[in-house]
Amino acid sequence: MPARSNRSLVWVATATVAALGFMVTVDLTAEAPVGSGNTSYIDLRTQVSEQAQEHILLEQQISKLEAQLAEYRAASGSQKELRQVLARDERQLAAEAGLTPVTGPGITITIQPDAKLGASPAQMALFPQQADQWLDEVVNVLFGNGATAIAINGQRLVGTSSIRLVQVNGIGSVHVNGRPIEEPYVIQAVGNVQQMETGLSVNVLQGYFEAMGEDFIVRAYPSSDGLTVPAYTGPLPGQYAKEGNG
Amino acid sequence: MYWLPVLGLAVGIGLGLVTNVVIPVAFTSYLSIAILAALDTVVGGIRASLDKTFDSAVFLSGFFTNTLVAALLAYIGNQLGVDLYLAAVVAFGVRLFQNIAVIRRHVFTLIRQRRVARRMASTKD
Repeated sequence: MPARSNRSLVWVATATVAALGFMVTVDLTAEAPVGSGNTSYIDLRTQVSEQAQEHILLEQQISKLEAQLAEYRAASGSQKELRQVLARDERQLAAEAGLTPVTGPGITITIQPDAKLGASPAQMALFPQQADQWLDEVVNVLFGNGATAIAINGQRLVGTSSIRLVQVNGIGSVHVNGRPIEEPYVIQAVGNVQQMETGLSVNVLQGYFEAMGEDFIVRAYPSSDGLTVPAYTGPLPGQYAKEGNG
Repeated sequence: MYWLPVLGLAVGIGLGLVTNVVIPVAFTSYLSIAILAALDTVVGGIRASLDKTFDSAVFLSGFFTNTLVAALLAYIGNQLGVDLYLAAVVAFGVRLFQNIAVIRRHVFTLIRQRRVARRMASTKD
């Protein structure tokens, strides 16, 4: 009986050891995962955990970048709005500077020699010698009484405009914005019609002009599109003057 | 006859090398725990033989059952997200060391008994 038991033990041990050897060999010769020497379950779990953490970090990075992108897009949008505002400001400044035509209620004043007024030759000779001063006076009265845009014979008056009498030996003419104009002088003024008319009356300009043998015909255009004053077309101050450093 | 287990081991290793069985990477951990279970059964069998309680049917069924159940336990644990793998490692590991300790004591006892027997034989002479 013991001999039989020993024999069975040997055979069983042989079979189990063979199976164990086979399993161990297979396990040892099994290929390791690509890019890693670890095949352990725990190592794999650790790797998965690390990858999950990295995934979370990358997702956070993506959200940060998306927020930054949205910020840039918003900034780009506001830049567009800024450009629109700047363009609107530019248009407004151009209008105020006289670089655009202006339409609105206004008056026209026509100044021209009129023999019927009965002025003496000496009186009539006075205006051609002082035309620039008188035109200047009229313009000042108009600007001081609600005029927002004025032009003389189509020459728009701006901040740098000049009204000069250029004469040599009695020959010459009035220059507005450096350009010669001839009689009749037609002054166009857009603004508060009633106020401008009142200003002219108060300063008795019509009387002075008529005393010098000049008609001073004021016509009112009270409707909203009654009068259009042309834009300034001459050189701008910035053409020569540049911004200084100090 | 005692050389047969050594031959069996050589045959097993040879089969493993020749057949070139490829285990998917995902299943290598299951094979590892199965080997641990098999080792535990073998050591348990040696202990049983030293205790004179060895039963080949129990041993063989224990060997294959423990191996398969250990691998299955690890697989289920992996699917459930519970570390049953570690539970199997701890359980088989503890039993393995206990059996080895018992085997060691048996071996020492056998050695001492032989020495005593030798001394008694020499004193008789």
